Amino acid sequence: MNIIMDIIKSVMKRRMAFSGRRAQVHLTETIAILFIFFILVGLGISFYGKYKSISFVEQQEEQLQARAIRTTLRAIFLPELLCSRGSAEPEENCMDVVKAREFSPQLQDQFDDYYFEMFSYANITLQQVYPSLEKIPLYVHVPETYEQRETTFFVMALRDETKGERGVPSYGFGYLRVEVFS
Amino acid sequence: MADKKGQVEVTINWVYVLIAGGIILLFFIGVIVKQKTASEEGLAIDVVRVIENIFVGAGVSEKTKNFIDTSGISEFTLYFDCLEGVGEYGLQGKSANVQNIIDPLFSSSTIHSPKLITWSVPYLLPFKVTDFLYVTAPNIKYYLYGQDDLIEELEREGQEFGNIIVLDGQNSYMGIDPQGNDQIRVVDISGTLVKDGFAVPEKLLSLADEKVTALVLQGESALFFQKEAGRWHLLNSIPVPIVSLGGARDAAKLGAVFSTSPEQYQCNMGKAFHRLKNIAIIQLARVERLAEYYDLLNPEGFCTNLISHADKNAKDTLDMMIKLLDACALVPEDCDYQDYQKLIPLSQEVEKTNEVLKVNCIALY
Repeated sequence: MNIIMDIIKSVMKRRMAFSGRRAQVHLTETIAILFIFFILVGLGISFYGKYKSISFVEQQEEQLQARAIRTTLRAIFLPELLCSRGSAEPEENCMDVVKAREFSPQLQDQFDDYYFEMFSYANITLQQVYPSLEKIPLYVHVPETYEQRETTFFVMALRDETKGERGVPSYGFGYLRVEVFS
Repeated sequence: MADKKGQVEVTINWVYVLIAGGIILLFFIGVIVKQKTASEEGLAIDVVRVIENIFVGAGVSEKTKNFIDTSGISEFTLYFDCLEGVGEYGLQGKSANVQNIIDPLFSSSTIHSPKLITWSVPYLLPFKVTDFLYVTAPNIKYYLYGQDDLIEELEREGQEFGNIIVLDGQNSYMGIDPQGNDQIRVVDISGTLVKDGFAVPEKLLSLADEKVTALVLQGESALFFQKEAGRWHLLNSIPVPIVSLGGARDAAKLGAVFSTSPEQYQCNMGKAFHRLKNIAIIQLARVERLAEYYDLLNPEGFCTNLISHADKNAKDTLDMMIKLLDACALVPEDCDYQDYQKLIPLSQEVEKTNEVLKVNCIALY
């Protein structure tokens, strides 16, 4: 009888030891699964973050390019500087040099509000190439620090009526340099 | 005992799995909802940015007509507003919008259409000030009545738009049918069809009040009307003066045709007057350089006299123009919109001087 009892006791002991080991294995399994799960989630988040940051930079570049186009368009067609022909349509791609020289000195006080709304952070310069080299700064509002810069050039005819012969205006040519910053 | 323990363990395991699964599911649902809202806002920002680019392009080059396909955002309503010199447009119900203090944009307060029409016309006073941009849609119908150059011009120019109809009399006016259009605007040059308190054509009663508007142009002033309880209601007790030199393609008059509210019209004209001041400053500086040029050439000559010495010379007239605009810009409360009418005789004077100058001297503009 005692022998049978001993056998039963030893079986029960073994079984309990076995069940404890099984629980330990189970726990380790669960931890391993959770570990892998969180690694996968972490990887997913890091990939998504990377993708987002790249697309954000691309978006910023796109926005800067769009702003460069807008700023250039506005600068080319500035009514303040165009070569007017009375009430007729103004001459295309042409700037009046006399007006251009006066633009910055006369309207400087509005570069922080009105023209900032129009051009934002930009550096717009009219460069005369012919008949003489002359650089006319039109609008200068460069930020102290910037991450990106986009520069565009546009060829312009330059009219100067004070240089012509008896009412016939003198024409030169140059280019408009538009730099935008972000 | 062991069986019971096992059962409890399995149940706890399942509850644990359910709770953990639920939390993970909720987390992903939250991420998706957040992404959806963000992408909708992103779309609204993109749309507004694209519209801004289109408007800038359309606004800077004069006399251009553009037809913009907006079928992709046809479920949205575009709104246009202008208050205290700041114009604003965007998609109704979305936070994305564009604010602008530079470009005058005349349109209905709202546009709900799969297509947009933009038209730019230069505003001259007497030199070019800016390009006015008119924004409309095929489902906003303009019914014009009266004998005037403006009506003929609008009919001719508006053939491409397909939303301008000329009325031939009282009967055709009373028979105006919305026919599924979003908005109806009546432009009466005769001043006989639309008056404060007059009945609105019967078929227009089905449309909301703000969708039925009218403009009466009498002489050089404009009266804005809107439907209210089946009758025309005058929106501006004092007529809004049209500050222009008249003639073909009167940009200021066209602005009144396309604006549905007097406030929006005056606000956009205010933008043009601000720009006019800057252009007049540059013109005056140019005139001073011309005066120096002619002083060296012939100080007592005809050109010098017209530019800087004669009665009502170019320099003085431009200076008066700047002073008037400056006074209005510095103390807007003291400057009534009617005061801008004083710009008309000054502009006519500059125009006259320019006509004389351009024969033998360098023109002013």
